[in-house]
Amino acid sequence: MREELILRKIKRGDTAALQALMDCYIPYISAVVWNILRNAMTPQDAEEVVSDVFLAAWDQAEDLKEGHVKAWLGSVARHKAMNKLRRMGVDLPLEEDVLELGGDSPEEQLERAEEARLVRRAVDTLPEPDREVFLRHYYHAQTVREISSYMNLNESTIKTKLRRGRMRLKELLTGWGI
Amino acid sequence: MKRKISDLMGHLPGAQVEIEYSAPLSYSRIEELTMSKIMKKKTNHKRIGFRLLAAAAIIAALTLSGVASYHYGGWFQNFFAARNNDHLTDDQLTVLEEHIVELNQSVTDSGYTVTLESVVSDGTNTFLKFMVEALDGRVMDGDYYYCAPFRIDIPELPEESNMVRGITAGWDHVVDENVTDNAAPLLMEVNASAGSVPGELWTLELSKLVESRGAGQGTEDIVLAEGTWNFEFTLPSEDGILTELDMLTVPVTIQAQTYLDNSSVPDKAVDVSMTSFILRPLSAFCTYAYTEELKVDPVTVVLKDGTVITAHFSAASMDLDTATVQHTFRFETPIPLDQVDYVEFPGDVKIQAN
Repeated sequence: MREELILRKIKRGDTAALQALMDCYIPYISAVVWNILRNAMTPQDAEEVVSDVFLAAWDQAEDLKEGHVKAWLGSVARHKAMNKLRRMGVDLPLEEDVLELGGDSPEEQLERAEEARLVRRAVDTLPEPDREVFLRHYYHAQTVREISSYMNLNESTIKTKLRRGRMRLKELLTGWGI
Repeated sequence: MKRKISDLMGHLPGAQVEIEYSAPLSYSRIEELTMSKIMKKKTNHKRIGFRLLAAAAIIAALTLSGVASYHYGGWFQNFFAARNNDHLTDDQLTVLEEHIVELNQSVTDSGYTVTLESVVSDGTNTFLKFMVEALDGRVMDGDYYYCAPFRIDIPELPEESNMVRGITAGWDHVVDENVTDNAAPLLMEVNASAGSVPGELWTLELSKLVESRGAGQGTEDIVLAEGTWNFEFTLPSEDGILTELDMLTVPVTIQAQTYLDNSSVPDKAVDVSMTSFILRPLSAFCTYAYTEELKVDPVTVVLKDGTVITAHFSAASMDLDTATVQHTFRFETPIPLDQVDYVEFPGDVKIQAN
């Protein structure tokens, strides 16, 4: 079933269309959620979170746009998984996950929309394959070892790229006012 | 100010990079969880009004007959009568009796015995009536009961059909005639879009028995048991009691409505060529040639005695190769096919029964 037809039918309450959407995206959403929750929750708990992602798609069908469905689902999945971790007080096991930025005063703190724009712009300026390494680790919570295996790079190379990515991100975000 | 990089990454949309799909999660369980949550939402919103009417219908039946009719045909007769202003004609009663299959399959797990007592099906619309019994004698006095998640497996349509098949299912609110004993009824309604194949085997997996209280005022759901109750049954075959009325010998032009873009709001009226309309005792499906799903409403069946029965839209399937759409409708009351006078469609189109 074409994506456009699937979306139209979901918006009309056709559960067979939602089934088709799940057939397409359950593997991807499962990977997004499990990468984040695997150190803190059981697979059954993660399945509940994945299910909630598609329930959100059903409830907010008007927000689904053709050509952007995977991105929307992926973003919602990450958001729900990260919220689960926060409620449990668990941190992701990432390499130096904290950046020291400026802007301590309320006047210097940016609005959320502006911060979002600058973060996206900063990540997009990272050269490949550094950008991919950075996103695999800090967005998808893949370990250094996993990234090394998937991208066929040494672990030390991965760590170097992550460090360069952090420095670049800090430089750009600080320079742009975050 | 210190900020977590992983939090800042939350500003990014998903699918920035392709990742590997290696999660040890059960995809089928995820589907079941999602569909059961959706069905529960639909059932909670939809059926409470019927429950009050059903209670009145059963009280009336007991008063008139003086004796409660507790065999399975009687239970379904009361159920459908309540949907039809407390009345079924003799012909409708006959149709029901012809389409009830008594199964009496019992499964015991986690302290409860669930019995699939009987099924009423015309191949497209199917009602499954269960009784659940608490083995420890616990009084079952909840407002209604259901099992979630559940899974229904039906066979794929034949290869040549080209239709994508789907099912929708949900639990109905039904009245427990005796709230002081340790048993309660459950009723599942299943609609299979694109019809079904006579004699096919359905499998049903129920898990997690839930008691719901306070319907309409703030529902409280209590999990009574985390068991598993599995059933198999065969739909009636063509040689048996599965009947249908093929209403068209030539295509007929009817009016339908397109939808506004990306919405469920009807837009403009269009003429479409309807190539098939098949009537079954509890459902109907029509096929028309168009490149998108349309709103075909109202569709009414008129019996020879003047009774008017409204068809309710149930589901739709589309064959992308041939650009045809099939709509499935359901009826709230059984239709005696030999009593059909005509079917009326939008655009003042009447099709006489053969």
